[in-house]
Amino acid sequence: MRQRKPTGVWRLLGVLVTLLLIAAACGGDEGEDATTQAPATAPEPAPAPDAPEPPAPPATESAPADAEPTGEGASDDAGDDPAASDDVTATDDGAADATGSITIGAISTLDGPFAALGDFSMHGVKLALLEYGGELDGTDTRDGVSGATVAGLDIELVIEGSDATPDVAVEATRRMVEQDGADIIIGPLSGDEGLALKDYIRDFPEVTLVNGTSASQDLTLRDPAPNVFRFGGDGAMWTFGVGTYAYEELGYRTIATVAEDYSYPYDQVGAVLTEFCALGGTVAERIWVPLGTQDYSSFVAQIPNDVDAVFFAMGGTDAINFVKQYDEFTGQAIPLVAGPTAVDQSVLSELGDRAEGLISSGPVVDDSGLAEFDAFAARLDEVFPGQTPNIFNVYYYIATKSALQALEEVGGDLSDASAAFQAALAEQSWQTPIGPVVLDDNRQAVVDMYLRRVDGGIQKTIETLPKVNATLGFDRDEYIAQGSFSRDNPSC
Amino acid sequence: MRASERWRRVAWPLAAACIGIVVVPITASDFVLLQIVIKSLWLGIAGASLAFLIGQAGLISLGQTAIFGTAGYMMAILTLSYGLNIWLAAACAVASGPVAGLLVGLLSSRSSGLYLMMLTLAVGVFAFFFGQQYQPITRGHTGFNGFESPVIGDVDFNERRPLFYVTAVAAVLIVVALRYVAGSPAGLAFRGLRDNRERLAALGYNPAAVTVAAFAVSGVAAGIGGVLSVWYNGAISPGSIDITRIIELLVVVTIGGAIRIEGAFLGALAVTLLRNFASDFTNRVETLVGAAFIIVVLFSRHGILGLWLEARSRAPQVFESLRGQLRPRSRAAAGPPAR
Amino acid sequence: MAPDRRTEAAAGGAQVALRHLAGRAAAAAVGRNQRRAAQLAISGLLIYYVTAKSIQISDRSLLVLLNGLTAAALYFLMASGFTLLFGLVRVTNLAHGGVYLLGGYVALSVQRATGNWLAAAGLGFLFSGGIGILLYVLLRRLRGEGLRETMVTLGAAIVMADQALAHWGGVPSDLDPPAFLQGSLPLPASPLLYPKFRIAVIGLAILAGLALWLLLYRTRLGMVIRAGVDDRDMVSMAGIRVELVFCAVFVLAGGLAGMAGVAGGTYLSLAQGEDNRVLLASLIVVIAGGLGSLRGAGAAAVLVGLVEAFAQTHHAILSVLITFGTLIAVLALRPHGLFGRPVDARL
Repeated sequence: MRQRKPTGVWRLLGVLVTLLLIAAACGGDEGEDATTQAPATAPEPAPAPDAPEPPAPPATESAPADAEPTGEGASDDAGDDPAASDDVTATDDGAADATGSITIGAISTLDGPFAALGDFSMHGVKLALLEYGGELDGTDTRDGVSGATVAGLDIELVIEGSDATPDVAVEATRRMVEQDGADIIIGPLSGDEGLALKDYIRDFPEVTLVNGTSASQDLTLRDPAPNVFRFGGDGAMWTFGVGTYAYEELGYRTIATVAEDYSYPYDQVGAVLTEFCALGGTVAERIWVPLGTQDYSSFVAQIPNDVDAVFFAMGGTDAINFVKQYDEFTGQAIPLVAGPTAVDQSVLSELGDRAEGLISSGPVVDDSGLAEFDAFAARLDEVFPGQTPNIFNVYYYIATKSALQALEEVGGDLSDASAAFQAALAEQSWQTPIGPVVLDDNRQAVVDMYLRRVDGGIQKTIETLPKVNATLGFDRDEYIAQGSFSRDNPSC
Repeated sequence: MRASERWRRVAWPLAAACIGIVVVPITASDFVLLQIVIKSLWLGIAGASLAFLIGQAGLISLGQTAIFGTAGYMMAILTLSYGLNIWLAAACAVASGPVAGLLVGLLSSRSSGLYLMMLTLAVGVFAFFFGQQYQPITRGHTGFNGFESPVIGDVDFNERRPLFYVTAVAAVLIVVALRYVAGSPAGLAFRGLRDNRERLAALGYNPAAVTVAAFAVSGVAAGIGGVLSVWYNGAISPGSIDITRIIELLVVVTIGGAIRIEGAFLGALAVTLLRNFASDFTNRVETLVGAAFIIVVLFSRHGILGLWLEARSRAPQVFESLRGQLRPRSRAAAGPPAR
Repeated sequence: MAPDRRTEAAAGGAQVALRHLAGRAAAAAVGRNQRRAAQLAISGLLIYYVTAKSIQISDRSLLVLLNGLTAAALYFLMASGFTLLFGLVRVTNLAHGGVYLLGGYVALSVQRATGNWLAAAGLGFLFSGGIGILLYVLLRRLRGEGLRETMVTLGAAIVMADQALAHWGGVPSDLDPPAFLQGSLPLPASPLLYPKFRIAVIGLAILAGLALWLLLYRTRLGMVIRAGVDDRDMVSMAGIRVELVFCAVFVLAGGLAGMAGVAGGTYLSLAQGEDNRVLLASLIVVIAGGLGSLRGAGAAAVLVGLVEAFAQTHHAILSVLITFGTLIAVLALRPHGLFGRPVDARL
């Protein structure tokens, strides 16, 4: 009764092990290519590697042997296989020294709800590389740039995508760092990805992370990592000045807020309320919308009738849905004030007329008149027809360009765990398309922000807010002590 | 005789597994060891819990991520929020697996087939939203970062090789344990649930109770998988148990083949390799994954494992027919072709 | 003060209902029918709770009701096709969300080219019906193997989502409603408005429901479909070309999903990830209503829509948990859904 058929499964386990080893061999192979490009990460030069054997023999060997249906000797070959492929993987740690190239890995969200933003980010990365003599390999987002050189060294670009979840972002970055031998990582896009990558990259001091658009405060504010740099603002900095403007210039005294329910909108709402409440304003209701909500009608219904204005902080699809539905359900009876990404240029055209007149603060305006900005916009449209500057392509451009400039200054020297390069990067101070940038002691940028109004489908400047820092001008210790912004912090 | 045969059947594969455990960390690069081998192993462990449910008990559960996530979150919460001793926390987290499995089983004990699949899907999605929305416990969308695996003396489980040994040993133990359960009288009851619920009831078993038991057993594996995933990622967030992950677990088991527990590991390896290396060949990884999935399902009832088993059982016939074709014509015409 | 009086009236009505329920619960308790008593007590508490909450925002209760119905309309359009497909062909079509998205996107392209919403909607409907045929062909050789069919539709869903990303990009987008449905109507006794198009969506769902009812109960095809739902083998034995009927149901289900995509793409928006979200919502509705039951799909759509709107209004943060919790509760108590029969849902 209990007799089971002799199984081939265990033989399969053998094959599985073989497959693992083959993968290891291939992995070792590629890792070898990669480490040759990464002088800093090669611990000790190994003797010249043997040519890797084709991985086929062990696999084919086990297949005919298993033609016999009995369990006899089933695992013999399973035992053999590892031995057989032992030699295959002997090439593993073979790493030669500098062959004169540097690998830059760029990560953004290329799948999932934020896929479009990933496209924008990569435009920025590529544009910076084109300035250093590169040429586009193709038109797809994942097609790289080849031929760029800095200080006589070839720059290779590796592109990886995530779906905005931290787990996937870490795996993609690990692939770039450990498999492709990336020396510099540009990205990621979203806040929680940034925090996860900070934890990962801390263990690789020779690799440098230059943030893309991750806007989490704690990427640099609390417990910073020495090899993480941010040349842009965080979520709170992007919202700087709106609260004050709403109270003093627009005369609002009571507001309601509607925002997505996670850390990035907490920072935006927190920044607005910190200013607004300090001046004496009050918040009547904070409405947090679970991520993934499409129909905002029931949330619009919760906005009290007697507030002076509604501040909303959302991104992408959510912003489009909210503004459309707010307009349909209230006729915009109560004025809206926007968060930075809700009216970013990347969604402005989809928002259409409904966005006209919305006030917000943010890093990118279209009428700054800066020569660098106009040149950037022209070049962007030339290389990627129809694209206009937005927070994503501008920030990824600034990050990449800063890294390339620093590389040039140190002559591509990444020895001594990139010490010279990271020091040069920390000293970067230049005129970006959106104004001057310098870094503070936590390698966090101090940058200009703009108070802006949507006018004729573009963002026009109301006022330039110079040199906004990570603590929004408040006392550093006090600001940090008040804790991360959350659903009910600040409690005003 | 029977015993020795059985022992032989167990001894060889165990030896093979041991050799694998010794050889793989020597030969594999750091990256492959972590992101391919260890990832496949813990994903396979989580998959094994589902393969057990599908293959043995015929319960297609999409709620395994809820169990997996419960254990993973327990691990992170107990250490990071409450500062509990890490081994104690790990023990609690592993123990929470079968408890969560029991709960999911109780909820779905009256369902079967498609209804069970959908009910457990609801449970899985509920767990995701709970992680995302119930901040006092779960820290919301950000989840837990900066988890440090334990260190005993010189052995640091944040390092890749120690982590590999733990994961591999856990995988072997889980396969052995699940196979043992499948071979025990309880396993017969599970198969009864799969093959004919009514007859099982007629035999005096309570199908609902058997369902609950199956979920509890699978909860052990899912729980261990969840704990190991936190050791691997050093983090857990709702993104670790979202709908994409729910589907991925099902894809892993289907591609591997659910007729044997080991299929889950095969599937996990296949999916991990695709996810890591497919982007070298194509810009549309997801289309490739989806298409590969459709093809495997269309052509094999039991995934890659099924293809293999079929090829193996057919091999003698193919060999025969090949011989038939090689024979001189006149003699081949004498008899019917071997089929 | 009109709103106040309305509030009082509502409170009064609720009180009467509650007293009635309490009386019956007490009677049941006295009569030792504990289960009945518990049921009555729970429903009494629920009614009390809902009424009390609604009174708090009396001027917006109508809005909440309408929001629930709009959501229900969209869910019904999705769920009706899904449930028919399952009822007849026993296919759990996990690509239903993908069809929704592609239907919407095709309509978007057509509207951008022609500027005509009706043409866009029509072509979106036809295109999705075409995808239905494709799915039918793909699944044909697996007929009768529920799990494998489900897996193939899952693979198809992954491919569809990625192809949508490749062709239409990730930028969220929406269709403009036709001119005669643009703008909003004022809601009585409230400063808020209600968009005309949403009301039209409710109408569309009711029309679709009526049409389906007519098709199922007044035509020969419908008779065959209903017979097929009850006993597939018998129908094929009766000499009916059941394959043709199957194909027709695939087209119908695809078309309904496409129509939902056009409607959803107009009053909400089209973006990556929408497919999964809508699929999940329609799965809830189908399961809660009972697989294969059109009536169940309708009832459950209304239930889920209302619960969702209510939860979002009063417990914004935990609203999703409440929606899914309701489903879990329904299924744990009634394993085959509200109107389901213990059909053979074996895989």
